[in-house]
Amino acid sequence: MKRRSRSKVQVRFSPFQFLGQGQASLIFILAAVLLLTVSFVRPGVYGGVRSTVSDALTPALILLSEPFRQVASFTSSVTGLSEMRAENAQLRAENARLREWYQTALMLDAENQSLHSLLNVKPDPAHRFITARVIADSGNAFVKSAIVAAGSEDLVQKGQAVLSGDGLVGRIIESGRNSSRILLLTDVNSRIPVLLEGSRQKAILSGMNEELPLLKYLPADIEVKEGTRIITSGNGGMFMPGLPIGTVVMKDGQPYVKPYADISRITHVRIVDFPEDPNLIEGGELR
Amino acid sequence: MSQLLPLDFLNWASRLFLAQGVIILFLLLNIVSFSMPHAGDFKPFFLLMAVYYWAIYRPTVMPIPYTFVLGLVFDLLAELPVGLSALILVGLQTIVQKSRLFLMGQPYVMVWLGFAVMSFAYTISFWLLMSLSEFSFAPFKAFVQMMIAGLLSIMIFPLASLILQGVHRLLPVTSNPMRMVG
Repeated sequence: MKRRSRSKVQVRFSPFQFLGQGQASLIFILAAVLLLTVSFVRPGVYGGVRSTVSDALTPALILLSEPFRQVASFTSSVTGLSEMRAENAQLRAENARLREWYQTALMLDAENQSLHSLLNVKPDPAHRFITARVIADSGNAFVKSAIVAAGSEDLVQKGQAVLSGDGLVGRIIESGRNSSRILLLTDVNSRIPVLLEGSRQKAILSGMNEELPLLKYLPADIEVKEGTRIITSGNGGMFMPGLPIGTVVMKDGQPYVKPYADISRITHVRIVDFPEDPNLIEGGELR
Repeated sequence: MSQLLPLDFLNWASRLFLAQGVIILFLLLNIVSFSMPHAGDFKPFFLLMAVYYWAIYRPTVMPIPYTFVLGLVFDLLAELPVGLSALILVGLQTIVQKSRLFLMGQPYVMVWLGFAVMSFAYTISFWLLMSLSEFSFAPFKAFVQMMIAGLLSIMIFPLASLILQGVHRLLPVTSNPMRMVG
């Protein structure tokens, strides 16, 4: 018997097709538009709710990220086996070089201390590091942020600098009880006051949602040399001064910065617990 | 009316919560760190897969208010303007639910194609809303990265729908405990 041809489905495009039965949809679409407008107008208003939600889901995220972490460390150990001998030799040479620098550093530190005391300079308050694991990223290409499994219980506070590997990767923008959020320095909203080593010229490092953030607000007559080291300036009491960030690379005539740290590959971070300068005035939203 | 044994109730409840658990798992997969370089830039749209599947085959598992809340939770976790994903997911779910009758009877390839269209719509509306929030066009590179994430989602969709189908088969016939017995 011949099969009947599939009957064509009638799709009616009446203008009111999406109303009527979809009343719930309409209400929630309007609610979403309302919330969205609020977050456009006042972006920071949901900070507390964000921390609460990430605190609540942190245990689940830690549990879920375990398998991925195990797979990643397994693959790196398997591939690393073949390069181990070369890496070993390289590490020995680097170790010898660093031992020389260690002696120089001790000498310079002693000289620094004596000069400080001579000039009666107030020393910078001592800082310590909080190590934390990255458990979540932003899940989309438009925002460069990460969530770490350390919060106010571990003395992590908003505004602290975050290091990974060899250099700065971002700063803490929200701190819940057991989780915190990092804004990476490649995000469009990231602005970090920096210093060019050597010339001591101040600038602002702003993220462009690209691999390399841009150095902005440099005076027009300043010549920036490729390879100049960029460090944090500590302006505005925002960060501990002197943290390494990266080196300058010129691209299309603009000074970009290649970070020392590999920002696309962050698994563990060190958060710098640097006490705020007590002489700073309260207020302002930068902190 | 036959007796409602505790074991029956547990059975019913655990199967119902399995479906919800898988949805939450998809939401968390969208956020969790994959420990791979650039993982966050090319993350497939797991939550959209769940929304799409349940909107076609069993809308009561994922009603509109629930999708709205999940969208809000995702926005809060992903440092996005709150309401952005909620708006896009509820909008897309409405569209899919209206086309349910058409999509349910189609062969799998058509459903897959439908997901590809939804994925594309998700990317475009995401980019448009992000541009609106910045009052200037959002970076084009991020748009391209999201398109690649969309392609990855389309490729992973068969696997995800397999999992969702498995959960669907396990689901009890009704989510109303009063109608469980008899």
